[in-house]
Amino acid sequence: MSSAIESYIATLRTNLAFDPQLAARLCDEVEEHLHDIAEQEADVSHAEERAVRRMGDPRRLAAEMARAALPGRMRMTWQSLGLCIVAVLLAMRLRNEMLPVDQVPISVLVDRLAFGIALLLGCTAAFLAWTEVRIRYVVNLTIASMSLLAVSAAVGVTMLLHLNSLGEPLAPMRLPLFAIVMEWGVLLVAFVTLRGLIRHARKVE
Amino acid sequence: MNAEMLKGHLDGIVLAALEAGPAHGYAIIEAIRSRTDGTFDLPEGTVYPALHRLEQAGLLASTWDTSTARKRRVYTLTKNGASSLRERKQTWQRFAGAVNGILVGS
Repeated sequence: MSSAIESYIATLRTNLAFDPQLAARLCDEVEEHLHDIAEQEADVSHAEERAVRRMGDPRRLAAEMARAALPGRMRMTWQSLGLCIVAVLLAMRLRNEMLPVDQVPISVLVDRLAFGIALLLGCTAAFLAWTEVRIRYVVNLTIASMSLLAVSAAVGVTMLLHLNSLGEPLAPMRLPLFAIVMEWGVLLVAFVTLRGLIRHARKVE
Repeated sequence: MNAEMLKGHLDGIVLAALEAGPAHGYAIIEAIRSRTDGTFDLPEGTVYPALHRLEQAGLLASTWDTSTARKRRVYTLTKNGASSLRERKQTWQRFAGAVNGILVGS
């Protein structure tokens, strides 16, 4: 049979599952704290139960921790979104300057449009976050912005494949290809960061 | 005094509890309890979100202390934390003085 402290920590860990790093750190810290309280209790037989009662509801503690960690998560997401915008812009410019893009005018149009709307949505999300409106709107706009950046990156890939199939030489495509790889790498990191923000936001709301 | 009444002041109280030197979560709660003669008897868990928030804001720094038998996370006031505490104290003194002036009379 598990002790009161063990079951408290297990419940806390389950409720902090949205952030494994935070869960590991806080559970260790709270467990030590609970043992400290229990040691001070005069009635040894119920010391752990009293310690757990004094610590408060683990679900509430987890929700409060999510709220406290949210600004840091938001900052990380903005930084990665900013990095994505720079990477996608750079890759798009390289494509437009180094490839015969006049052969794929629709792709160029979609590429620019996706990037432009992504930038607009990203700025709107940042503004809403600054004005402290509901986190759900900010998260949804960030998802939309990153998805459109992924569309732009996907257009880059299809553009290269299409030009290659038209018999264009591969040599001038090396740098744009490298930029596309970099762009996808940054997008992947950004989506992982965004996933963390979504999990935190769900816990807060 | 319940936790609701302390909302908005908890961060300042935690910073003040760390003014005397580095401490872990349990010691911080104990310091708050003893310095207020038990008036601020907070649920022990209340302190952790505040510690996390203050650390993220750069007002506190923390490390694991493994020098004792029990591993503990110890929090220290940073330079920014000390200056934030000074500002909070001044603001509080002005606020408390004004409220006293109205409620108690000059």
